[in-house]
Amino acid sequence: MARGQLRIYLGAAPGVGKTYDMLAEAHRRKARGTDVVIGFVEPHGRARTEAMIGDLEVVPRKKMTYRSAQFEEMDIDAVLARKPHVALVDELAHTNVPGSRNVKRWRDIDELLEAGITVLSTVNIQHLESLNDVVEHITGVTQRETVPDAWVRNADQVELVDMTPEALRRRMVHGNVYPAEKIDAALANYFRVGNLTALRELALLWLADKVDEQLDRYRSDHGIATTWEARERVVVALTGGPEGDTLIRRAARIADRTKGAGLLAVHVARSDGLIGADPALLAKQRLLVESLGGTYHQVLGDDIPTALIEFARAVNATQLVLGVSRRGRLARMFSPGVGSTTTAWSGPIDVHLVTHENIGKARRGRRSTGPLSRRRRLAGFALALGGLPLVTLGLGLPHDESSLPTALLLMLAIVTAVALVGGMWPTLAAATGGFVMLNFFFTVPYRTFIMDNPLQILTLIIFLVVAISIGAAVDLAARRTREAASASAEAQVLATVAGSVLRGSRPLIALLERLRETFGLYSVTLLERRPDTPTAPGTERDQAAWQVAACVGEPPCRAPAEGDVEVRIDDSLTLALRGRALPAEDQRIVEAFAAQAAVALRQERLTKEAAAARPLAEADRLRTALLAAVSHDLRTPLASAKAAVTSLRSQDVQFDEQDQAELLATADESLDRLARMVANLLDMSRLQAGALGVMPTALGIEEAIPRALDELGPEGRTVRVEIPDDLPTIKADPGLLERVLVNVVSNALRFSPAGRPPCITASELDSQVELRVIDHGPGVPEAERNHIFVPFQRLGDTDNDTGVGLGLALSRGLVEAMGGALIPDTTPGGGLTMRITLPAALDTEAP
Amino acid sequence: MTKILVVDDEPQILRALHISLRAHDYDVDLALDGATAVRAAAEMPPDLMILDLGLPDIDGIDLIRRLRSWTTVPIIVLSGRTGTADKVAALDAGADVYLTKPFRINELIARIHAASSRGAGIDKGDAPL
Repeated sequence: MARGQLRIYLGAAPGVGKTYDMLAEAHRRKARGTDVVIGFVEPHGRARTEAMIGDLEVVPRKKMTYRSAQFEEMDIDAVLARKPHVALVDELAHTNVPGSRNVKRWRDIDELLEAGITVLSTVNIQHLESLNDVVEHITGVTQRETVPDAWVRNADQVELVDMTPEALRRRMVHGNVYPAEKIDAALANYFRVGNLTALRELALLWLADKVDEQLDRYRSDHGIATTWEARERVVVALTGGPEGDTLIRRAARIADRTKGAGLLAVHVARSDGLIGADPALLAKQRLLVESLGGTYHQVLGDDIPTALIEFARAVNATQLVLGVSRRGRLARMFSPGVGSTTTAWSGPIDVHLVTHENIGKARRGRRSTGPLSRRRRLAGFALALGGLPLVTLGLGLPHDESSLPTALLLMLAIVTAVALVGGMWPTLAAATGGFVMLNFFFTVPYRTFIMDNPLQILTLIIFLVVAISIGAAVDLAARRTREAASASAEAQVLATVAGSVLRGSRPLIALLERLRETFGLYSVTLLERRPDTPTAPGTERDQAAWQVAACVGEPPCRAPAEGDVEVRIDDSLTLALRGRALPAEDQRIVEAFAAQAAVALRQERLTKEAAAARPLAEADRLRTALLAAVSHDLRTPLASAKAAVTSLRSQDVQFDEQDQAELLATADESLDRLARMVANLLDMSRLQAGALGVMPTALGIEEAIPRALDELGPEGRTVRVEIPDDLPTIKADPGLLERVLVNVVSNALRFSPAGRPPCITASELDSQVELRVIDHGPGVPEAERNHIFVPFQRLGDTDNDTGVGLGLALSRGLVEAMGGALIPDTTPGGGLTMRITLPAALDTEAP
Repeated sequence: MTKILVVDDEPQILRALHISLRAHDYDVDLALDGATAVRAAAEMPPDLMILDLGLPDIDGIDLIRRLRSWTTVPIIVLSGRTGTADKVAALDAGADVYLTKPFRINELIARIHAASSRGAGIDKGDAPL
């Protein structure tokens, strides 16, 4: 017996109206005359639901006792015995009382379906197994009654009973869902707006997946290959570390889950170069992204979370994939890190923090490349403030002369430490402080700022000079490091720039887009001075003097002065940036971009020229080949005839009679062929010039065919002709039809195997007559069918099938000129059948 | 009797050449395509070959090159290709004579005489390989 249909009403939460909808459907079906019974419906004391049951037949429930309590379950045997067409079974995820036949109610439903009964049922989203843990997270309630997703997915129909959280809560307030005493508790707990919204979203997404499946099936069934518009955009943030691969794959999986989702990878290059991304790794990851169908982007920004979020918003991202920080636990205590900051700011964009095997493995050498941040300067001051008194106290008070050298060296050590930690300013402070302390505590007279020992004065002055020198040296080193890092960030951007020019079909646009993206601009316009305008100064504002060579973003600049930044490339090219003014150090990068843009523009134009030249070269090659083919086709029969005739004319040999006859026949046949060829060429040129005179008259096919076969000589006599007697006359030009038949039949003859000559048949087909020239040769593959109608498509002299050269092309042209059609088809059992369709003559025109 | 192998894919010209050459006391062998020609030339080496360039299976120039890798038999090319480049290519590949179609039969006979007597008189050890 055929399995029954299963229709499921899916709800996000209790009380949305699943049972009500199910009952309404039952009434509709009953009204149509379907045999509907209620197997089990639980109205939960809801008045409107109870009223909805109305006159539907209810199969009595089965009463069961378990641990001395009474339970009611669906009486499955009773329903099976009743054998309705449709049965209603509420809450399919319900767990039956122990001792029932099946543990779960959905198993009962399975039995009903097996028995050929159509089942209407309901389920709430929280009962789906795959969503179990998510629901628990949202609601805090563990759900024990679950049903496998696959089972629900396999339902013939799943209908979502949807209701906004606000409406559901209003319904609850009105007492439509729960009894009055339970309302407040329910509203405060399970039925919070947040919960309901999350559950509703889950239900919608789950159903969207099911719909996707159906859509997929529909698309593959109907052979639809084009993609739907992207509705998800997944952005994956790359730091340039080895964990990037994992992130990209994860993001690709996320993107894969939704049809037509877009994948974008972004790397934020910090302009201070603090994070030394590995260009080789980035290049590799870029390839990976592109191989997964995504795109790679690079933006420049000092603050990674801000830059990331800005990028994600700009591309309308819906999901953002980040790696969990690689920093150690200690570092995480001091600052929240990119992941948490991004999450906090992301707004509507979902942020996925992905774990990977490189967590906690900070980049090597990172600390040494850092410049002196504010934090480090403060640490330096703190060290100076703490260290100096410590040394002073540590050496013990009061002091004598012998402690001065020790104190001096210790102070110097502290100043050096401060310099290493905090740079110039803390060092200066430490040096001064040290000087004062040494003066006060360690020089004679003690505890005064007076010094009377010149040697000690010199010692202290030297201390001051050395200390300050150390500070200056450390500071300089830090500055150099910072510059080097910045340069490497620039270099990284430039490398990407160079890469983008080499890749892609439209390098100029890609390049400008990258520039716009990197500096967060509104638009980037490459302007070109119009050729006839002078390069005089003052034309920068004149829109008429410039034309846009390429532009990305909006609004474009129409003259260089309209932009916020103007970068002159040469006399005729200028790059105009709109969006913001750029600091001096960024100008250098923009200039490099500009130079590259000029190269890309030139390259694009050259490519265009080359592309324009290609068809010309192609046409040239075609013409040469065509000439070669025509010349060959004309020369070949001419050569045979000439050879035969010159042989006959030669004086030095005598041919016997038979040889003479054969030579004459050769000459004759070759000249016939030549004549056919010339006639074809002339007809073809007339046809192409539209100068062909078509004089259609009523004509019997049986007259046209023998004339054509006669023209083909002895070979033509082998062709079998099977024309029924009762064919109507056709409307065609006798001369042209003969040319068509000669060409088509000679082509068929050429490809026919020995002993299986071609055959001509005909039949009437609604006021048309179809002539079929059937051969049993090798045939023509479907894909090449149209080639055989291209004049001289073989282009050369490698065979002597003149028919292929011109005959078929001409035949099709002639048939079409007579209002008919020539269509190649496959002969059953192999070979080619040419179907020539011609209009039948109207009776009044019959001869 | 001098044995000539004529290779052309056009049956009419083969017929005319066959009759004419036989009347001039040549032993004539015919081939309609390159593969047959190579086989015939290997099995019963002719004293001279007449070759069309536009063959259905192998390009004539390649065929000359292939033949020249193992035989020094005189080769007369008889082709509809009239371009200088075609002539140079055929002669470079190792053809001895290049005649364009259409041609007079007595010119062909004269060329055959010249080529075969030279081929018989001179040891073509320096033929290109």
